[in-house]
Amino acid sequence: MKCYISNFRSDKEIYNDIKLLIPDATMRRRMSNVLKRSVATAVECMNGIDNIALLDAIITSSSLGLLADSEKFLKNVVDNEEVLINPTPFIQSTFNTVGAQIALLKHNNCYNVTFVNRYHPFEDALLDALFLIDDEKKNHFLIGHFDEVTPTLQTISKRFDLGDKNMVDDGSYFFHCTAQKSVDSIALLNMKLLSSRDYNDINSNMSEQEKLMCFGASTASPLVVENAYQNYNSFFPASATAFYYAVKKVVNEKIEMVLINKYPDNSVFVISVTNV
Amino acid sequence: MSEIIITGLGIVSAMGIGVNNNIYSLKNNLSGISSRPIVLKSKLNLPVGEIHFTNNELSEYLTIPSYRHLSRTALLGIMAVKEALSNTDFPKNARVALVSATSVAGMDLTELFYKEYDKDNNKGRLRDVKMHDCGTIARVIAEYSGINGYVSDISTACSSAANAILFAAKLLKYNVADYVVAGGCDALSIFTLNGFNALKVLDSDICRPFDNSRCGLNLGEGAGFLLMQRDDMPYTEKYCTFAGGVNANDAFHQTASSDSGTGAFLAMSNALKNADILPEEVSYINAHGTATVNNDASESAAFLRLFGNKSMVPHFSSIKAFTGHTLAASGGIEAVLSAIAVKNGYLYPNLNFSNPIDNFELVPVTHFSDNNQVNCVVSNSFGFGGNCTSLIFKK
Repeated sequence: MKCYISNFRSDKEIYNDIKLLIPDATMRRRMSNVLKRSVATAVECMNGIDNIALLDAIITSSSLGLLADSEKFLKNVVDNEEVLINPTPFIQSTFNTVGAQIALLKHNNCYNVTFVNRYHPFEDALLDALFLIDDEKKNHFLIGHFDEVTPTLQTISKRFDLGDKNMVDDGSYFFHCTAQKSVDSIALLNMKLLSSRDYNDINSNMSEQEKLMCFGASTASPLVVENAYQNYNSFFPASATAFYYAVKKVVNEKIEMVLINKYPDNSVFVISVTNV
Repeated sequence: MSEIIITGLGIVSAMGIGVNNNIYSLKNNLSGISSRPIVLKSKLNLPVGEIHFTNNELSEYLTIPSYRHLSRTALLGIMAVKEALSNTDFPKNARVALVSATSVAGMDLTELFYKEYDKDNNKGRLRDVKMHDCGTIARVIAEYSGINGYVSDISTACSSAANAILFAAKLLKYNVADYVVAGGCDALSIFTLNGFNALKVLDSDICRPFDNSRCGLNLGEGAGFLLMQRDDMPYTEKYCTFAGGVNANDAFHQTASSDSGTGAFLAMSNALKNADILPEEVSYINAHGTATVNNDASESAAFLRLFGNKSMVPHFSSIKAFTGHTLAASGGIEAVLSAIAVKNGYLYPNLNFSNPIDNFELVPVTHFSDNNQVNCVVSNSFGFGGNCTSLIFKK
């Protein structure tokens, strides 16, 4: 299963004025930091708010969701002993708030789902997009991951003695993908989900060339990286971050990369990204 | 091409533990909603669909040592998943996956931690936050039910379990797994009870779905899971076929549903198209029917839009007055009941209905009956963020 990537953004690359990206002032004011920067990253990735209307699916992922809003609400309930509670942080603590707020910008009724998982929510989101392309002949997909590091998360990870590592990788990453190749396409994505048994079979019984073909590689000598998600200083696998830097490398250096991500639930995701 | 079928079922709700106890309550009009929380230590004196066992009692029932200190959400999930798997011996080397859903995850324990932490950041027992994230809930469910394959989680508020079932069907269709256990679980928590209370959508009495006088929902807790597979793999008992489903977004408001029921209409109509079924072929709709003023009006508008007029709307009912609204679990619990409705020809009653909603005049099923011709059931789950999912189960 494959798709084309036509743009990608992290929340460190927001260049437009936030008022252009999220024009509704009330909406902006109510948003928590991670919600605002995730929606802004999404709009920036789509080259403007109008293109949100094009989308056939908005699929988001997160490891811990909207932590600051969850804590704000919980603190309000504990401190006020269950009376006179402000519902806004409760409403916005829901994991699918980022995806929902993106859809609201242009009242887009498309498929909108959120994966949450300690290990591979981002790969799940990619996989779901590829299923949809095959299933329903959809074209435009926005796939994004977000997580936020809060002071409480830092305190708790210190108390758990996790060293200097944060529990999650703080940031938002969005990818605009299409089923059809277009003038905007910058990379081709191929992805497979294998059980570790099937992966080991392939690994031990096939020649190097056969293996690469099986992994969806289109060139003879791609850069193969195993568990790249471990490189980004985080306790939870930072696979969206790793994928973001892989796409960047592929586009800048005009190469092909194969990411092999192995997880404790005996699943192996093989993702190949080629420059087009 | 092989079909996707349902071959195992598991439920825990305020109606009881296990499918049989739940069906017994539905047959005998026995609501599981009690006048206020007993196990949950809340100051709010509101009716809830609570399971009257403490976490220790649930652990004991499951023979899980209490030192494991599992979240209530996980305990409920393990119970329902184990029941769904109880009739099945998987072939050797079968790829068995779990797609679980939750909206509160380990919040029942995090609340205990936070009460202490809030006073002093060095306080609060760390074992109470170990299960905070959704991923850990799913991992623990997989561990205790012997599932050693791919584990995924979805969290889209009250439609979570329905979306998990939809994703599970794709894993089977694309042959990424041979069997998938899919559904959802959520425990009652101070967090959600206060959240819905602050939104002013809780009824101080037992809820009245689709009634003109309805004024809010009751929260509940529980879990509901399906065992799903392709029919080319061995199975013991087939309940029904999973014919398809669709997720659509109302894209109207973060919490309120549109008056036109756009999201619900798109989910139902596209799910029927996706399953290649005509609206007139629908035997029964298991409605989302939370009993909030907004949801039931919006869902009624969607029914009229899809079926044309009042006389064309098929049998429908909401079971929320039996279980309360179990949030991320509701789509799973109601998928299980939908599968049984198809298998046994059941229609479930909508408790506490007296008068139809003005302008819609739709009357739900009010009495339990069997021996009906139930060929096709539509099960609706709608959540915050305009998230609307309809699933289709057929003979």
